[in-house]
Amino acid sequence: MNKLQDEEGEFLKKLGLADLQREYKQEKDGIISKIEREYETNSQLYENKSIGIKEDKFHKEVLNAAIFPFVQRGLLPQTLDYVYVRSSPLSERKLKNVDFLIVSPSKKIAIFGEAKQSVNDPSRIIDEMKQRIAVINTNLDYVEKYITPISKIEYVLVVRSFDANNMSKAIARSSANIILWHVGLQEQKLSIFVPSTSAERRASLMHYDDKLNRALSEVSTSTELRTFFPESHPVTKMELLTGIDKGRDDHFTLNEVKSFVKQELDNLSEQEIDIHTKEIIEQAIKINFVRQTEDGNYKIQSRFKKPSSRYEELKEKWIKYSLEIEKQEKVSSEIKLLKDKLMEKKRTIYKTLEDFPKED
Amino acid sequence: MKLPVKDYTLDSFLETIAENMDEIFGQDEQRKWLKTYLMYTDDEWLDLFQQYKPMKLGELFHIVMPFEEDGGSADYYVYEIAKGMLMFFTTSKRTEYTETLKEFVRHTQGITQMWLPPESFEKVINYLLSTYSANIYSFITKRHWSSKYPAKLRSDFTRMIHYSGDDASYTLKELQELYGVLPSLVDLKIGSDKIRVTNDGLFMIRTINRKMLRLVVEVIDRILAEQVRLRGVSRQVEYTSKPLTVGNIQLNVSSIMSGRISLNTKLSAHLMEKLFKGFEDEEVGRTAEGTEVSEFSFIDTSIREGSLSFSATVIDEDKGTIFGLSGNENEMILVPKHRITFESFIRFFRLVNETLDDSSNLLLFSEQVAR
Repeated sequence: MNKLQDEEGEFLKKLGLADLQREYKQEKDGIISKIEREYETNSQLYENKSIGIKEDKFHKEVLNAAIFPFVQRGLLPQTLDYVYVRSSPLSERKLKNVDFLIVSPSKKIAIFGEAKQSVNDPSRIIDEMKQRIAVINTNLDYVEKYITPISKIEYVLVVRSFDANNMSKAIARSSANIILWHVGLQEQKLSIFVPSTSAERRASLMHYDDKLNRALSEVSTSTELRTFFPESHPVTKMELLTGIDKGRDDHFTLNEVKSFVKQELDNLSEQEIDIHTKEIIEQAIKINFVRQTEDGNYKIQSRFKKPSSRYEELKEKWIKYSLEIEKQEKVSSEIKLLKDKLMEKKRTIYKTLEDFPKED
Repeated sequence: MKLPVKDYTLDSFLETIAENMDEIFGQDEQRKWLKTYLMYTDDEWLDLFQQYKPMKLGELFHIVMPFEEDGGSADYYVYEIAKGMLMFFTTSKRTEYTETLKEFVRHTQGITQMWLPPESFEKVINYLLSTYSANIYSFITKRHWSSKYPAKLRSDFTRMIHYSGDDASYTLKELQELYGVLPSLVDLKIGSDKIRVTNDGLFMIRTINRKMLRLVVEVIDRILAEQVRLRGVSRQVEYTSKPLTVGNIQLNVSSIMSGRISLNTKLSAHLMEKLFKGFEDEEVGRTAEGTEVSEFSFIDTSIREGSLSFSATVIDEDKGTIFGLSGNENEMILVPKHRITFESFIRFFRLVNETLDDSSNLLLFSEQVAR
């Protein structure tokens, strides 16, 4: 606060002219009350945040349905030999990339996959995928962390079944070699999409391993598997905290959170697991959902004991917190514009004043 | 209830009880009942009770659980009738049991009170009626509004009927047909002997004699196969992570075995919403003794109407187990996640059975795949 007051004082000093200072204070108050009012009355802002959480859930459902058959025992023939490695490959290189990596250790095949809960603009999705493929190709040493030597890298897009036709047509028209899987939520099935193109083009839109193509025909799946992924919504990442003290003491430890994180984020390095664990706890403390106890452990800060009620409270606390941050950022940026405007005005005035004596 | 310290077989244990009846149960009118609580447990169940220092008495174990600070305690004699299926014999009062074994079971991972699905419970009652010419003189039956069990009258009402009368054997069937209620507690007379059975796996006998003691063991034997199956399926629902080394590369490979509840009646979005909201604090799944058996929280839920599909993270509030739930109108998939213990799946299956479909079945995910 003092720092802010100092900055404010400094700016007013710089502004100098009393009229301008008055104008600044008036306009600043106007900005603050306008934005305060907007955030108080516009329920859409709250709703949008809530939609963001729901969308993350829908994305998670499609992503889980894509990897579930590779984790659930007995769904794919054992001899097929494909294993789910991890989500958000390349994230430790701070590169935004696809959602998951599956490899065949014996066949040395890597499959990078991206899940889309909805398809509004197929060509935009393809462009985005092409960019990600390019990034993967410049990071082959990364792929070699999981298989070496690499005999083949394949790229998969996973969409809902009702989007599959549209998406497939766009892929066929493009030059990209992207394989399409689709998820039927009602049927709880995952399938590869067999495109109706020339045999030659079709070959580039299917897996090299024909056994995998055959196995991915209406294989049973589930939209539940991992609770969160490295790039999940903050609320999704914090949701397990709602039940962390159930069947146990009221207090919980960092290690308990870490064991959840470790299991959720397969094959991430120990360092990354630590980062995500700390991030989850810090975020929960920031929004006042968790507090640190005197003994260095943690405790849930909630009016409720029941995890489902706590989950609603968690969402509410996060939305309010993030709206507050957003509001403050908006105020700061508008005040910055105001400051720039008034400094410009000052320059004009001074220029006039300086000019005035000369003319005189 | 204190028996001489010596090695027992189940037979000699029952013999000793029969021979020392007055000493164990008292002679007056208010004499104690002999209660047998059935529990499912992990294979290594003795470890769970280490703090009580179980004393081995041949095939049985004696466990003393304190319930009061001033030194009060409840005695249990435990017999493992099949792997991980325990019979707890006691004469403790209900309050004493609630404060000791029940409370312990509620918060301990690896043990839960047995639950007899409607079909098994009916089997028990019918066996007593037909083989022992028993007569029902009192019972409690229940129906949840969402139950799909056929009812001729107002099928969408939650109801509980407590009936006493010499014609109770007939009334039970009539009420079942008319109101679609299922029994949760039944009192029967066999000649002048009395027995109470509940779908929570409690067998109580008032008249202690060799015949009645044998009968309890015999009845339990009739339903054991289904109970063993239920325990077996739920124990296989698990999560494992194994290292896989290929050349210089080491990966952790996760694998799971999910559970599956197959339904005989189709689910609706409305019912799933109700389930996810815990039936809005209705008295769901109350046992004959009026206590809650199913405390689950559903978070991060989604339900798609029309062609129904749904998913949620489920938390067992008593045991701390966390699992995923997904499905459509015909089935639910139970995906193991954290702090897995088998009894959470049995308890969840019971919740589904009592509120959504009394003829649902708990299977392994792979069992359906193999069909």
